[in-house]
Amino acid sequence: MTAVNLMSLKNIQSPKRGGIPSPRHELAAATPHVAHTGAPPNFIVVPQNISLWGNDVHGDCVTAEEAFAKACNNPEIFITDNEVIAWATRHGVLEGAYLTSVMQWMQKDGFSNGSSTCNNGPFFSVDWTDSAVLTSAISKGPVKIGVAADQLEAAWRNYGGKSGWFCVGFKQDNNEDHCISLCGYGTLDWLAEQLQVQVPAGIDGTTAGYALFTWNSIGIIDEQSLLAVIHEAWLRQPTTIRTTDTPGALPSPKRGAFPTPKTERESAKPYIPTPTTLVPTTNAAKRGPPGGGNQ
Amino acid sequence: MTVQSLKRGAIPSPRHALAAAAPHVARIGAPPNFIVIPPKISMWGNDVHGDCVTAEEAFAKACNNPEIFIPDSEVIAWATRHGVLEGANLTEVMQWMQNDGFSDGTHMYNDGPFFSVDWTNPTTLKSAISNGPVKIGIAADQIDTAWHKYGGKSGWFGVGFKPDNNEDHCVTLCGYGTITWLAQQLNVPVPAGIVGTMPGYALFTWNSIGILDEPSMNAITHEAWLRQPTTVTKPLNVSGNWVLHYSWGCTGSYGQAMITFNNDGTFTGTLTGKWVHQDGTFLWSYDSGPAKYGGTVNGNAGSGAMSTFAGSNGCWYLVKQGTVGTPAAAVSHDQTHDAAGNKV
Repeated sequence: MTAVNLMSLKNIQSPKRGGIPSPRHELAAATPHVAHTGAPPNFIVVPQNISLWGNDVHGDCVTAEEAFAKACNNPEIFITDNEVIAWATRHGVLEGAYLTSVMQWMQKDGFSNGSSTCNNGPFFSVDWTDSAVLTSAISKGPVKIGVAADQLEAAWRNYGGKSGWFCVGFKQDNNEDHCISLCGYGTLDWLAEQLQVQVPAGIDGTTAGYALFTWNSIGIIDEQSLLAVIHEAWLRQPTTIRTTDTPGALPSPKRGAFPTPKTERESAKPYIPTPTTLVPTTNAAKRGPPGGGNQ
Repeated sequence: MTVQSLKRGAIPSPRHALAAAAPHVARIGAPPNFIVIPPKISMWGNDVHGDCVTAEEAFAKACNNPEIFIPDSEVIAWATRHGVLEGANLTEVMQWMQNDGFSDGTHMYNDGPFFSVDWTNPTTLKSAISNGPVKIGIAADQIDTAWHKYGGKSGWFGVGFKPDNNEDHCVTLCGYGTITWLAQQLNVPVPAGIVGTMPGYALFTWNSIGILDEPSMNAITHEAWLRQPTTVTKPLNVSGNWVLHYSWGCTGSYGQAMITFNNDGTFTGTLTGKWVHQDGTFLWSYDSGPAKYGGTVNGNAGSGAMSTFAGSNGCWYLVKQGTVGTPAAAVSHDQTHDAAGNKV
């Protein structure tokens, strides 16, 4: 580790985890994502503002990942750390959660963001061992995954916790204890270029890899390392459904019941689905600066 | 007690296999009680081998109407041929069974595609069972104890099981209802101390059908699958007129002989003899010579090898008469032996 990295690490609190493996019957019950044709060969979403969302202090990784998924929306939705911690506290998952429980609750009772609520769409299981299925899913939205995080944490620390860290050569680890997001894929060279970092010496930049979010940073992992630590994967479709309060549209109380707040999809203004995704082919197409989330 | 020691042989399907599987969606109209009890069941090798995953497939075939009984020898041969005589993933066996199922010499008995079943949802599980026997992976220690307690005869009971995550066995769920109703179907009384009004499931393993209460089933189950349909029966359609192309020494030039496979296991034509389709392999021998032929037939073509077992070996392929578009082979009239393996 370099002196610079050691200096940076002094300011980084010990990261927490908090993922609990989803029971096997949840996987059995889930509808699988079916690979769509036309997924781009390389893909990444880099939100402008990301955060630790409490995962430096609490085992709320499953909820923090939801906040990252909201940040991947276009336009970006930034959920505050306070709201993430409050949501996790309210649902009893501040120090650990099943991935599926949180995704289930998020469908009806998502994050509050000012005058709107950000819910999830239904979720689908993703076969992470099938790269066509996994890349298709990532191109549709950030994929929430459960991982064994010991080697991830070591890699993250090795690079001082800044975006652009690399994970290669991981060994099999079945101890799923953390939840993160996959937000891109491509060759390691391409992903590094998007994050404006160099592929370290000794790493083959032509191999396939993925961009992953955890602990206020986006790192790069090669495909084999991902397969060694991943134990579940989920796609929300859509990732985000914004439900807004529209007081002006409320009927007079005299008339009776208040209408259920309508989603943007159902509102009078035609809703144009805004992809949470971006298909950069050049650096200019990226949404945010690399490492810009390290606040 | 004369009961043999019991084997198991299930390896948990990986989590990504569950993630990739389409789930069974509960249909309306499942009956309140349901059971299938095949007249004839067997150990299907699971007393000697860890072939529970394949034995369960044989039980599923026995649930067909009319029943299809697969002999133990075919089950063991199938498991041996696929390298799963002493342990298997449930999903790999179901995958292979879709194209290379059991055979009885005249028919292939394949599986349809399979769907994952959420065993913790009674509505989903009952719907699945009413559509076909449900293949499940379980931790079997407590089942083993219950089975032995009742002497291994159908009508044993498993209640009050504790959670056990050590999945090591594959069994079938073939019925559901109250424990009293299930016991009636199996012609046994509900033992004192067991609440007959509780919901339960009928479960096949080790040449018997037992009854499990619902919490016990949930305590030991770790995967569940429904085949749809359970059985796809395909005739081994070799009967008819074929042209045999044979090449002693596999020289690339072939002699020809007409051969007509009859449904009674004999063949006529240029020469006569007997044929059999066994364990996925098509075998025939001649009445008038030492040659033994073995290989596979698929549709209108087949291929394999032959031997006299006295130093002469060769290659062959078969084409059904009237088939067009088959590759032409060099015709040779200078084979060292005739089709039956006699020197010419």
